[in-house]
Amino acid sequence: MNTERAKKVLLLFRPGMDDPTEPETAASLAQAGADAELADWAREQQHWHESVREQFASIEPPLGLRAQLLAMRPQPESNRWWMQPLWLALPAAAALVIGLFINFVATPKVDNRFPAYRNWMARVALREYRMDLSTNSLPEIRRYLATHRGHGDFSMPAGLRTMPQLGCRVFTWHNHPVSLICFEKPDQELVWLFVTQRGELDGAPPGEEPVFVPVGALATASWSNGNETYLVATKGDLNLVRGYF
Amino acid sequence: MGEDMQFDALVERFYRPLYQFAFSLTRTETDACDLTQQTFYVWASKGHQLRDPSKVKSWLFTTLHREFLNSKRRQERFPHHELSEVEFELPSAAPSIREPIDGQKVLEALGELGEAFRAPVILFYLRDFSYKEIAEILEIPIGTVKSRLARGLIQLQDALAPPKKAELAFKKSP
Repeated sequence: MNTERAKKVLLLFRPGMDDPTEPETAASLAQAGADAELADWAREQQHWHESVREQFASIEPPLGLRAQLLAMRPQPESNRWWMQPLWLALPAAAALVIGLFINFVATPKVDNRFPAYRNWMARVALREYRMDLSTNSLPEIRRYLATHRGHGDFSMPAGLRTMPQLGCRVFTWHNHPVSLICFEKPDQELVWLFVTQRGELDGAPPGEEPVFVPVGALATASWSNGNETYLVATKGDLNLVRGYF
Repeated sequence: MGEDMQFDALVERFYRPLYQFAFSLTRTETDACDLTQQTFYVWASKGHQLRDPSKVKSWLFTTLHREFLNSKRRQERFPHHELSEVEFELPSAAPSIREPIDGQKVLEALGELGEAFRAPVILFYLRDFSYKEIAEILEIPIGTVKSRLARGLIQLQDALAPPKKAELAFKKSP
């Protein structure tokens, strides 16, 4: 093996990680053992790799990410009503239980708790999405939502009433419709208002008193009004969102 | 309950390296959080379809990488180059590391790498990935992983050590 080839092999060799007995690696290591210049070169490369590796290892996730991820855990099976012994004991319900069980097995498990919903909507806001309707007209937005399984009669906190709308979209979350209305702030940053049925969410805010929670780079506020649960989100700190109420 | 504990255990074990991978790819905290959350969301929805527990790590990193590519709406496919097809000069020596390497500069240098080289280099430096696992995650052959790595590592050194640029110049294939 010539020196250049040995260098190519040694460049990719990670001591303690890669197999030193792999024939080409073993030959290159043996060659380095007999060639001081090649051995020095390989040592410098390893030193370099270790220094760079330390930089990758020092990347720290932001505070709160772990908790957000844990909030996304699938719903425990023990909480499912159809798994309770009382129901299982009722012969008349057996067929229904079996049917639901088959449906459950065939369907991906979902978490319909409010924190998971809030996290998901924050991601929707931050990722690329398209508007179903682009317009500055609030009546048009209400009409569109009302005729597309959305929430045309949505209400707004005072701070959003003075902001121009950019458009709206209707999409589904766990098969339930969610309305998204997009607003533009004076600084051209966006504010997103999500509306969905309150009954679809476990642990939705109980009343009209908003709950303020940061989600990544977003500040969010959530509340319920009638049958609907609202979530407003924008980039910035919580004081910004508090000012909308 | 077992499923619950399994999900929590997976988060505890993998959220940090997944975030490190995502942050190295995107270089923004928001996008990295987004990718990490999306990965666990996909796991919560579809993870039960995975039958081989030993594949969980590869599955999560593959999912994150796919989500990254999807988010970029990439249309092009990276060209595959086998190691033997690509000739280049190896550095005569590693760049001086007498001065500490700055993490931000490493990320900036990563951004200068060709798209095809970035992910293999990141996985090379994140610990505990065999070449077989890197190949599985990136869904490319091991030979392609090694060829991209060899070029990527040299490009990284090149980007982090401008004075040595002349020594690191690639020579074109005959």
